[in-house]
Amino acid sequence: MIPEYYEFCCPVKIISGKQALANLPYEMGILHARRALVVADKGVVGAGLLKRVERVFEGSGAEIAAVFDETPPDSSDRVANRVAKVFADLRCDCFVAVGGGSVLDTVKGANMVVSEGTDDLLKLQGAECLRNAPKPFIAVPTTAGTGSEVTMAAVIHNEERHIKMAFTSYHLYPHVAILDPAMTLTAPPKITAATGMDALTHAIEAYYCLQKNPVSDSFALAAIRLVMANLTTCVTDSHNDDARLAMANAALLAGISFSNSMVGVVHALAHACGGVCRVPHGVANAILLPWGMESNIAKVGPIIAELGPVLGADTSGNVEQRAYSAVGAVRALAERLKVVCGLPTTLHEAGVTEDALDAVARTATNDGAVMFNPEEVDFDAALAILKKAF
Amino acid sequence: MQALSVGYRVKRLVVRMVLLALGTAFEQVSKRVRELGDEIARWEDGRTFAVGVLPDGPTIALRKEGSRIRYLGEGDHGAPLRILFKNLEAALPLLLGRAGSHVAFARHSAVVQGNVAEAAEANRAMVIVQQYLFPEFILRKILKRRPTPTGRQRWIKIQILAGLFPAMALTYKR
Repeated sequence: MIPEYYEFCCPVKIISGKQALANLPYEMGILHARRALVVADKGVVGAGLLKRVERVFEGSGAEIAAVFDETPPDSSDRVANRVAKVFADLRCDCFVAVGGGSVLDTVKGANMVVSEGTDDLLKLQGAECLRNAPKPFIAVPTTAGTGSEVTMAAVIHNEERHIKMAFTSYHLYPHVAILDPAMTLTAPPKITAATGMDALTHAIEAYYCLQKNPVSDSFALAAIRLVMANLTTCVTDSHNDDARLAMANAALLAGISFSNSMVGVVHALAHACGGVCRVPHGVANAILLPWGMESNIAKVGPIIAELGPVLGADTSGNVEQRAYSAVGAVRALAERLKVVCGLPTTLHEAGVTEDALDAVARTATNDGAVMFNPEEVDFDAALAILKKAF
Repeated sequence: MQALSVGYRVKRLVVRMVLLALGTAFEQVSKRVRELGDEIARWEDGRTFAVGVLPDGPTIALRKEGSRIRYLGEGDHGAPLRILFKNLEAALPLLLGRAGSHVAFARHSAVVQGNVAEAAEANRAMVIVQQYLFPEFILRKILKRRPTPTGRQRWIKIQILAGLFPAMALTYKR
């Protein structure tokens, strides 16, 4: 069914393929940039991925003005402010983010600070409220999950209040996303599994949440097919670059989808688990996804049932049975990943203590994602899901 | 300066009046309804937020004072949190009870300037106020969860609606 009204936007140039990274300096030229601030983290440096980036600049005319490799696992407002200061102090003209969601979101935060001419990211909180065009920004994801390379959202940790802040704006899109399987080959199995489940969560929530539209639906379905066909292979055969490229594309497609249809209770709870208990985002999503889907069956059972065929679920029975089968297929994938790489399937296994559940539920109810969830998510509803997932 | 049509002026007047009713209702409901008191109990005293329409209004501002919400009057009063509809057409469905706030956000009708978590809290408070402004047949259409008011809540609603217009006359000059 066509919604009464919808908007869709994806202005990101996508470059996907083996050796795609080699085009990075050329793309900088297209953006009239030549001095890059490369933002990464210690993991990227340790895996030798930064060297790959440095090599492609050789003889290109463009240069790396500086490397910032101190991005923490959860990007924070203070780190984003520091990156912005480095960018301004060294007169850089382009951000190149090499890393996972934390690195990409840090650059989005820094780009906001630079472009809006402020010194503190906290002054720019809000949804769809940025005014100035961003600086050139090229994203090179090294994990296949967040889809941040094609989204208008950034999730950044507030160091003072210990909450995850969501920023959304059409000015947060990178200009270019480069998907090169060589950049994701080094991700360890458990991180590959968690980030892959993050991508699956994006696609599934995008498909049934309130801002869904026919264009975002098509991206979501394509993403789910790729995840179901390639995630387990990526985890068990980490150097399979065909599967890696497929998963990178799955994450990107899911990112385009959810950036235009938003996500719901699963993400609200996962953000809160991250903020309160430091559970990695992909791990929290993997645990909470089946419970979040189940909690929405009463409202959008027929839509969830539509996902059965692409999830490889049993498609017999009435609509409600088919919806539960779709949830079962997600649960079965999570169980397979637990067997092959130890991905947790309960919050308890992920290190959450029962006494933290109230705080997680309370935090989740203030997450912007609950607005787009089909079912009402108040404190009791959030807590009920958490208890089931515990 | 572009001349404004009569139709546009009427729409703007309607939005202005509905925002006045909303602001006044916030005060009335926060005086009488425990759910709203519970919702705002965790807000810091003095938290101010504005609801309005881009590019230049109408806009109203509300502030938490003690255990209640005070309607400050027209304008944003420097509120650090602003929920602003992109235009009058975008504001009308929500303000006239033709759509819920979740639908308004799903249709990109409004932007949030300020803390998104506080916007979610303000929105929940607004949903509680809506439940004392609109009849149940409208609430059944616009709320995600079907409301099941108690007899006491119905009686409070009657009192609030009966006193709304006199209260608006008093708050109009703020």
